[in-house]
Amino acid sequence: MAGILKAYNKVPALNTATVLLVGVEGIGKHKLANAMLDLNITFNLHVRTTTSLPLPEENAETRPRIDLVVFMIDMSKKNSFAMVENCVKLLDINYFLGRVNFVITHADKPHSQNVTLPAVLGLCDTYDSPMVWGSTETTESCHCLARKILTTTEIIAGCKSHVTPMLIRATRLPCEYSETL
Amino acid sequence: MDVVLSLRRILNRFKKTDFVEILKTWNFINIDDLYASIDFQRNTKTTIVSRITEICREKNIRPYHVAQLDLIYQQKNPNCKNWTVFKLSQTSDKNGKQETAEYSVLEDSLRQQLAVFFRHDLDSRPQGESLWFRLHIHGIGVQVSTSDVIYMVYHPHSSYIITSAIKVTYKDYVLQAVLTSLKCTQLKELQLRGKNLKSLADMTLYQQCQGSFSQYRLNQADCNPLGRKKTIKRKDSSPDALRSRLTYENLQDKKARICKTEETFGTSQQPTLERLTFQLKTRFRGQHHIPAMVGHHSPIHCTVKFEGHSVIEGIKHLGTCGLASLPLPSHLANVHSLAKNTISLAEKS
Repeated sequence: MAGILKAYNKVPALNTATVLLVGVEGIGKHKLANAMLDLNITFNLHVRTTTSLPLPEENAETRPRIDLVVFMIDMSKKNSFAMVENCVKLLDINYFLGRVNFVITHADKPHSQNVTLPAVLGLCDTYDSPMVWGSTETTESCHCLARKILTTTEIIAGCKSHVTPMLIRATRLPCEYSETL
Repeated sequence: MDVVLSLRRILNRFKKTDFVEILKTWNFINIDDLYASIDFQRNTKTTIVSRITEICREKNIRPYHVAQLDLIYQQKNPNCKNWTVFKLSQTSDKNGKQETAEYSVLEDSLRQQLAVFFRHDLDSRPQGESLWFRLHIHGIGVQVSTSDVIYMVYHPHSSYIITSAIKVTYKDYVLQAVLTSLKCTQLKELQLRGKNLKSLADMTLYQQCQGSFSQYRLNQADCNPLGRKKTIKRKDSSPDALRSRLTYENLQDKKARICKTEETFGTSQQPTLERLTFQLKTRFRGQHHIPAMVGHHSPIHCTVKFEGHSVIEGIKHLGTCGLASLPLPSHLANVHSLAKNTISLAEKS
């Protein structure tokens, strides 16, 4: 189907990982991307940002293989959650075996939240992907969030021998789905 | 005595750093005499104000000078008051324009007309192309309250006059006096209010050249043919190495949106409006979200208010931020040229 982002249709580059950040405008994607690129890492990191899926056709040739897709949700913006809900259906199923992360910001301010907590947890449980809580407001919190994402990226890039993202997912403690979408 | 009191009150409003410039503009006291007794950098504001007041009292200051100082203050800080715009119109037998733009003549005729209604003090001061009037109506009692002072800004040969708040008891008389002195037959209050005087003046005087036409008014359309072109491109320093690893996928889309917004609103700063109200008398259009309303065709009354420190600038950014789909509907896209605070939208019948 046109528009689905395929996981394995391109050849990976040596010692390189590409992360795709998906989130509405103004959510802090570029701040997070710069924080990730600032950190000292042993492999090459490329970051691509977009405001929605499907990705535009014009970059399809030059785009490298996307290793990790990070969806950013801002709990104070309903449209960010609605966009992620729609876009997550346009990903190849292979991504959901350990190559998707949900980053949730503004979770520490309950009085300014417009997205309900059960809805967010329901989304993460339905797509069986880890969620990372953080903030992009200050540089320290951005760096903290970047480090959390880079632990997953390191595994995907192949820096840890004999460890794959599927292994991490499989060794997680199984728990019942607590929330449904 | 109360001349000195009002002088002190006005002087206290100024910032300490502005005193030297203001005194030079005012020209009532010779500033070189002041340097002997006042150190404008080191003394406190209260000391400076009391010394100036003393010197003025010795020089026998008149209310005219105090009024001029007040006008200087208002011209420097025009955005503190709430301004209203009035449109003057004439009957067709006259040419449609003022016969004279001589400031003293305008002031004298206005003073004559106002004298019919109340005891007052009228002073004027030009600023650029406009003429500022300060009208102080003597109320009952000695106290001078700020609501008895009215400021009016008139651009000669235009048909608009902008005033600050006028008390209801005086309003009809003041407006009648203005009407007669400017030799017009009708005065209409426009639905345009705001705090930023320059924006209000721009919106009314240049109503036909806002938005993308403002590039011609502001002389941005032609480049300087004698200007030097930069031929040497400097190589970007290290942040670019970082930037090549970060790609924005929807860049073309964003550029297209910015282009469309610039076509509607132009590239320059939009006029500042604090409030914009839409009164809707349209039928319900959200049947997609609420299926129960499918059969409902009668109009619904609704008011939508946009508030902020620059509403039109905010509407311009709605498209580029991805919060509204472009092109914007005409009632939002043309907001810069409507010169109104309240806009009514009704069904096309």
